Amino acid sequence: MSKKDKCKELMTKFFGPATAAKVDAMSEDTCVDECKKIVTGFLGADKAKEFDSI
Amino acid sequence: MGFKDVFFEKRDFRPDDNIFTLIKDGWIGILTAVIVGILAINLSGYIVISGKKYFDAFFLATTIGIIIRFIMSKTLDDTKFTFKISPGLYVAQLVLMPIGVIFYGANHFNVNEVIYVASTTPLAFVQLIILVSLVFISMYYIGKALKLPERFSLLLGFGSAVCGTAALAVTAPICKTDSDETSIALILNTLVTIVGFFFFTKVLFNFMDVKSFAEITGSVIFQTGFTKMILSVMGNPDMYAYGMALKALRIALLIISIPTVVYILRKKIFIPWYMVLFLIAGIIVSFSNFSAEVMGSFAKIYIYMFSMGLAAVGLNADITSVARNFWKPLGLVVATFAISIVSFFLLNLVL
Repeated sequence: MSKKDKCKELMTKFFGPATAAKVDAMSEDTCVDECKKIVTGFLGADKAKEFDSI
Repeated sequence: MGFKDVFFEKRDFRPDDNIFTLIKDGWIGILTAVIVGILAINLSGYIVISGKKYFDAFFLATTIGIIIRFIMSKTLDDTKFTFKISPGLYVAQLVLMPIGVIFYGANHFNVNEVIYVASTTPLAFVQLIILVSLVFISMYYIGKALKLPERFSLLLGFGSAVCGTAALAVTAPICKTDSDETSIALILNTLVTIVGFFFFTKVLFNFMDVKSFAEITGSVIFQTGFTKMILSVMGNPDMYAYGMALKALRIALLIISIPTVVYILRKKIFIPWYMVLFLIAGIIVSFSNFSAEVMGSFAKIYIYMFSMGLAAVGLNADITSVARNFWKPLGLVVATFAISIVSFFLLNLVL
């Protein structure tokens, strides 16, 4: 599973499938940081920790 | 795989939260979908061209949703919309669509009509099953050749083979198409049906006897509203009822087509719990004697639920993606529509 797929899975869990589709526009290198930033902004740092395992 | 897994699927979106928490957290998105859905229902009553309603509430809810999303993305911060409102829009679909499906079953799945068609005109019954299967097979293989996702081709199959926009509302969550794909399917379904309406009433009607015309209309035309408008051209109440019975049979075939398509997509047996209730509601209503007022209320409930759910789909769709990805599915739906008409005439020669 690529980083993007893992990010998409977590973003689906947090925001639903329509929002997770935004990950498609991100790059493999930056998607984890970008998603982490979004989740921190909207849901808090605790939830964003889930991206640390990617 | 347990018995429960046949009817219930684990949610990808916040699997550990109950539905009430999701509703509480997503109220802005839900409210937006509700407002757009109600607006679409009211507008559909006003958009009348030459005495005919060409655009139903489902089509309007989706297109108004797409337009509002486009305006919002240009005027507001799109990131905020995406992450604040979109989750609620998804919750709206999760909650509203199953309620709509159950009441749609109560209103449209009629066991008596299935028995009537199968016993009085068995050849038409067989012909209809072959045509429905053919539409799905054509959608699947032509869609594959056009490199469209399987889930999208099969959703288009439901829209063409079964019952237009309502069938799309029922089956989109099952096919798990994204908002752009569902929106394209709904818009296309309406546009092709409008073309079909003129072709059937202005061309085909002049060359066919009334029984064959009722059969082809009931077997091929996508939407119930348009099927009624086309059949009424004949001015023959018996043939009108016959054509509508064939149309009802296509809806009843959802009971078989949904598990089949789910098996193709996911390689597992899955019958959504709300499809079981669709069946039960249809059976109860078929063998009961509900008044016209009660049936009208059932219809109102599913129209409201689907309109609000499809407004949520439109609000989640990206207009540029919809426009960019419109043409291949358009070719697919038109080709399959043509195949079903030609196949009807060929089957008439054989059966």
